[in-house]
Amino acid sequence: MEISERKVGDVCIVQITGRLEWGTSDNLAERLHHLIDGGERRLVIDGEKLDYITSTGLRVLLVAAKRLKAVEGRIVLSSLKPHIIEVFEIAGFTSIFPIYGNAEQAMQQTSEPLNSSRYKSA
Amino acid sequence: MLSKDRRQGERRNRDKQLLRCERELQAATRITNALFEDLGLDELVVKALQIAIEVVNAECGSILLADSLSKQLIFQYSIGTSPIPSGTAIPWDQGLAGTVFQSAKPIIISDAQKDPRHLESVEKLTGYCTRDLVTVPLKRWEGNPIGVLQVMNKREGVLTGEDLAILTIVSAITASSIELHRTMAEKERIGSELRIASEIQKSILPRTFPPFPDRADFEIYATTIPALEMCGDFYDFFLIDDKRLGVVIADVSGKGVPAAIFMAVSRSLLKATALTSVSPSECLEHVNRLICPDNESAMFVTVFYGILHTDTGELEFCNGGHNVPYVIRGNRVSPVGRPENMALGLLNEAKYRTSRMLLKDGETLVLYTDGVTEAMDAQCQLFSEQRLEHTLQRLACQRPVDLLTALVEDVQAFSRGIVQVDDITLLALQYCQPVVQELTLANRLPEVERIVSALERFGHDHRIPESDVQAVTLALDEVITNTISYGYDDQVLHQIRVRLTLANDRLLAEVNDDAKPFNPLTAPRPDLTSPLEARPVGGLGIHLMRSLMDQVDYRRESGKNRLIMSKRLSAVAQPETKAGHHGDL
Repeated sequence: MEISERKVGDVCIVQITGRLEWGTSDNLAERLHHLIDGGERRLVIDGEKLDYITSTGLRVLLVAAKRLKAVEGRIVLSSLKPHIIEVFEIAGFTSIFPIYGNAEQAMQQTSEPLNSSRYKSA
Repeated sequence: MLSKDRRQGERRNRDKQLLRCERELQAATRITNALFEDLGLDELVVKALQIAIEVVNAECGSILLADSLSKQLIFQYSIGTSPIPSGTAIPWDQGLAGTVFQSAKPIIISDAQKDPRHLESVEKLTGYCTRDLVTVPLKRWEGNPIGVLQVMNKREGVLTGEDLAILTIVSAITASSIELHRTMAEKERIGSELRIASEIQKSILPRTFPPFPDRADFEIYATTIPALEMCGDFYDFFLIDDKRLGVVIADVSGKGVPAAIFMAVSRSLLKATALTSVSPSECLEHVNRLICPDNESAMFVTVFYGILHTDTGELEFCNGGHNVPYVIRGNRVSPVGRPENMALGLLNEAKYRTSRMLLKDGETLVLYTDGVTEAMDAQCQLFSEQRLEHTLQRLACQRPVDLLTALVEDVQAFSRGIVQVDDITLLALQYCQPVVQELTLANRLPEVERIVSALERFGHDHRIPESDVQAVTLALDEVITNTISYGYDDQVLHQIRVRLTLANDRLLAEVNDDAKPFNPLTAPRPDLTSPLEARPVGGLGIHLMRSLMDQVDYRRESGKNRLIMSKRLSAVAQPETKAGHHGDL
């Protein structure tokens, strides 16, 4: 798994490439905590190149989302592949993670004032 | 003057006749109405007697019904100033009542005290003095009496022949009603007993399909449509051990309740014997020797018993006088063996021989009873072996359940409008040679990667749709990660055995480990709905696995967890499907 970040305005886009599973989830967890500790409040997880996710990976995203929520931040997802969306649906994550069709859309939505909740599933 | 008198006399007679007809009609109507009131038997008797007494204007009367066991006439009901208690019984060949009952002819008496047949014993019971009396047999127009109706002491004058005529009508209608009542009650009783028996009988045959959800190496379906409520046909199937499946079809001589009882006995004996791991011929020989000595009613049963070796597809079978089954190979339908052994129950010393054949991947064995081939159409033509073969040929590419469903429809369409005279029973068994890959992992988390890549290769090699490979991979990943993370208390190295089986259109993943007992099927469902801040972290892995797989089976066997997960593969992009399993849907 590879993780890359880019910053657009006050939004941080984190792109995950490859597999988010037992052996790689810790890396992502560390990275996200690092970003939040560093003051990032608006995160977009770009899943365009995410091939695989297990419950361990889901847990990392959930923990990060909880942390951000506590400091009035927000995490959204974009560009997930259909079989990854299916996993999100089974896990009941689509009700707590806004998912957008592409990173730009996600960025736009996440930079809107917080507490607006016009989230749309992809 | 004379003619005027005559005319007046005639008119009087006509009026009298009219009056009488009217009374008769009235009595008949009232009783008939009572019949339609849906009264119980006792109420009906009371009503009939009330009407009888009223229409002839008598003081009292009784209805006595015959009891053939005790040969008595029993007072069902009496009306009068001092009625005879219900249940009082007199011998059915004594007294006036007995005479009428025996002769089936009515008696009319103007002074009972002078008649030697009058039973004083009854009168002593009540202290009542009978003057005039009519006793009529309680019977339908034709047929034997079921009792007698007695009416006594007309309030004005004495009972006449005219009263007798009316009472005869009342008696006939009452008798018919009582008999009808009895017949219906009996029918209802027998009907409900038969229904219960039929339910019990059906419930002893395996009726859950698919019966072995963790097996992908064969597919089995069976059905039986009894002609009468109780059925003499039966099918059966059972796993003798992990690698041997027993299949049975049988037809008991005769029909109805006796055949059903014999069927239940035969079925139990066959299964009990088969499970002792004997060969088909040994099994039939043994059961035959058990049935023969006690078989006083000379019933017999034709049986086909086969054992499928699920790893090789070898079929051992013994046919005891049963219709020769068919095997479907591609589009070819051919008979299986010859009926070289005798039906069971005929000859104690009969010898039985086992035959063998090989079922290849996708081939189907079809067992049937003669209710199929002997089903008749309106022109009295039989469905016949020939038609059965043609139908099987046409349905050759269907899976067992679809094959038999379509076949039954065909047979029923053939004999539409004709009452089914024989049980129709069918069993289809398709062999699906499995592709198996086994893998042993150590209980260390990095090992999970090995199973993930093994599955990817397996999926690629056998052209399994990618979405299915992804689903099974994730399910296995979750299960094994969970086991390695939480299943062991020690630091010792343990082995986790994984077996992938591809058979037919199913992919099975079996995990065997010696970790702590853990049944994922009893794991609590995670919270999937609460808002982010309240959403618990964890518990999702097992939930993902259960949702992604079609069927999950858990067993704790000899200190090990055995988890079998099954996924039915998507129909699209499955080039290796057997002769278009889904193609005809």
